Amino acid sequence: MSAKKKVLLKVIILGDSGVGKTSLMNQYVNKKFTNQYKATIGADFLTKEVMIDDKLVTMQIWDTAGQERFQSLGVAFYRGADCCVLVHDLTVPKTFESLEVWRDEFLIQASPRDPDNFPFVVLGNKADLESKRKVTAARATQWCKSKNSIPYHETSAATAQNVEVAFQEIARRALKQEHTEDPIYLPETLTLNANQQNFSNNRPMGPDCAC
Amino acid sequence: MALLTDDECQADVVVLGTGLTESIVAAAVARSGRRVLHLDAAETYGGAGRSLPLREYIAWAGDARDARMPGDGVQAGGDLRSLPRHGWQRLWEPFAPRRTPETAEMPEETREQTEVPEGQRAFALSPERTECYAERSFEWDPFQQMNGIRRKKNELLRNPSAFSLDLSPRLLYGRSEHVDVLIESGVARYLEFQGLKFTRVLTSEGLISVPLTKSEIFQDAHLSKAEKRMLMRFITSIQPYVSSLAFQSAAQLGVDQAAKIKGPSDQSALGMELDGSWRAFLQQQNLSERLQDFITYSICLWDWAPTEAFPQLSCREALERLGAFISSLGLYGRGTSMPLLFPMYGIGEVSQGYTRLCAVHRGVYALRTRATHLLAQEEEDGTMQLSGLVTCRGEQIKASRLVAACGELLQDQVPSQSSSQHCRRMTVLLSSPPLGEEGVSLCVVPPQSLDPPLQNVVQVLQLDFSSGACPHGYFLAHLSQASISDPGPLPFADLDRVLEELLKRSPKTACIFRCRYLQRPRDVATRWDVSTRTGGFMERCLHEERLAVVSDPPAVPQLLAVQEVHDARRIFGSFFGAESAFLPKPQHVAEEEMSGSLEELEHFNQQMQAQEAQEAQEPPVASLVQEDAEQ
Repeated sequence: MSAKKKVLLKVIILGDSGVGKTSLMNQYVNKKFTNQYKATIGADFLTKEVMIDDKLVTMQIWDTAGQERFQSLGVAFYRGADCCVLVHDLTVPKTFESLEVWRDEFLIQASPRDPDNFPFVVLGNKADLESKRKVTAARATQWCKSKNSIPYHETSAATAQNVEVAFQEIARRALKQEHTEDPIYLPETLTLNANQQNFSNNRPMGPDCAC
Repeated sequence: MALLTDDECQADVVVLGTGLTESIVAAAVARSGRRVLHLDAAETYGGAGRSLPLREYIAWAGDARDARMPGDGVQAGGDLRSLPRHGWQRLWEPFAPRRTPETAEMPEETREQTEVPEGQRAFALSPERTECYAERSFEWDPFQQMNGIRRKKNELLRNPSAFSLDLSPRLLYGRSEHVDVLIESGVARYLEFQGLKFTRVLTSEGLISVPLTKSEIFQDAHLSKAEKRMLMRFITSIQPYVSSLAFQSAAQLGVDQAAKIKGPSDQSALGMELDGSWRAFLQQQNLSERLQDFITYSICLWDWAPTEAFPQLSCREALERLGAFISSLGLYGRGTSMPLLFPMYGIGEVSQGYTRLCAVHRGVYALRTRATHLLAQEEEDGTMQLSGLVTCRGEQIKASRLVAACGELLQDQVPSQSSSQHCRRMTVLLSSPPLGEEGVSLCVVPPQSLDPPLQNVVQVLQLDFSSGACPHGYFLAHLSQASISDPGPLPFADLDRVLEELLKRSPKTACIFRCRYLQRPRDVATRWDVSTRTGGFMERCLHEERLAVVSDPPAVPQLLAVQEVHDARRIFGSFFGAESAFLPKPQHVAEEEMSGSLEELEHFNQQMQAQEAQEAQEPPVASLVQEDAEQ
């Protein structure tokens, strides 16, 4: 509806259950949108406007809504992602080992045009629990390096440590991806919304309408 | 073995199957604050209404046996997905037994002996799951006209996910109950659509575009002057009647309010008999044969030729369809003259949207999970009451209500009966647009257009990469024909003739693959042998509204998604009462919309200010308040 063309970036967060995907999202976004999150229901997607090099973009961060728990995320979740964030809990090695699988799963389901250069970001979460750490920074960094140098950040959703920095990087990479992903002309798609319906309710039977 | 936690095994409603209707019910139940456990034996969403990538599609279509699970053929086709799935198996042992649960080979008596808690009883279900699609076949290069088909095939198979092929393609009217529910529930936020660009009628004189507006009628090159006058007169006379049908959108009224609004009841409007024949009415209006076909097939999208064996279109239904069509005109998108929407990547995305809404409201999802037994609790009066089910991993789920897709909850040795109404479908991949122009669009072929006449009208839905259904540079055509009679030895003869007729118009068009099948929705009523213990139990659960069986995707209408929301609403109402709110707007969606509207307002004000500033050559007014004050 809006006349100004907005840049909308879709970011999805993957990782085993319990690594803190939803918490990271909330820590990052809710500073601005606390009222949008209800603890009683799961998270949907959260949006945040960010400035990247003087450009205002809207980041839409999609939560798995728990559908990852039994490996039951549908292909619709992955479609059109501009960046994929892989999260593990650095106190639980299994969640780190799963990253490989989540990455493969993403590449197959989303089937980006250039899988080798699709932007991922890896977050080792729960960095505040240093005494319980089981996955060393060296081990994580090495894996990331082997996957075409994925950037790696250690974050804490609890203390907000590194969260802002990490998401800045995510937004930047997503924006870069958005520019490269559309080599062919894509016709505009339609979205349905209430505003549009309300608008058209008052639409008189125009002179050009047959009936 | 068990994956689900004890807490997750407690549900108010268990839903088996992730087709569109099942997913809408799941979302509605979760939205109402109740606990939902949603299972599907397949490894992808969508059930009978799924949209498949190319490899899975070939595996599905190439395997004509009906009694196979949707995921079964996948590995045989060398599916890429086996790659990470193995990864999962390696890392996460509990996921290992994802198909052919060991119970499948056991005889029924053995399966009966699952361990159940005190006072409960287990009723074994058949491990077979069947589908409503029969006589499937898939061929590369069916007309043997292509050089280098092997190369083309490899090229396409290299990126099978560039395809999203609907088994039962569906369109939505721009304004319809389903669209209202999508908007109200917030599911629309997950989806994107393409508007239909145009509609054509294939006649003996060729492909003719259907004029939908006054200027189009005026400028039309095919209609005679007399026909143009007839058509305009008809439209003018029917206008007051039809526009009264274009009632307020449910997105404004609230979905539940809108559901209470009745259809047309004003008998006097045109002096027509509402239950009378539409065909006869059109004849009375002195419309030419061709115009009658235009209105009936391409505007009312009626599926049946006027022969005795077929259902006949009543004036009431025709006016309802006309109303749906007209009230949807011009709603979405410029340059899309047809008021129909195609969901990007197919109808499977829509059901996934509902599952997401359900998950957001604490619904629990587990694919690759089959029910092996129903559980019943013995009541004090000695009757058995549905109390839950057992999964293929042996998890005991506690739930008092159950929703199951048509292919679920079957008994051994009881064949499903199909209704006589079925839809013959053919999907082809072509190298150029069969309807002459690119874009998502529709073509109808009235029976008399070909000589000898077709048995029934044929609908052709053209899709291209803009719909997300196929890669750039390719075109999909979904041809379909409803039928009642026995399919006979050549059920697809008419579809082949229509395809041939369309391809004649562009001789260079290559047909890369062709897939044909019958869609035969099964009879929901006669699915169990009620003389058996299990069958009798399930029948009673059905009557007591503790169990609901969801119909297969309807064969008719061939291309419109109208039935699913009705069915879902009915099932939800039968469980929790018709007065329970059905998918009301979630708070966070309302807040988003509000901030969206405010943003619009702000933008509008900015524009106004800019304009005023330009006109007056004065600095713009600083704030909204001041501007209001000036007005």
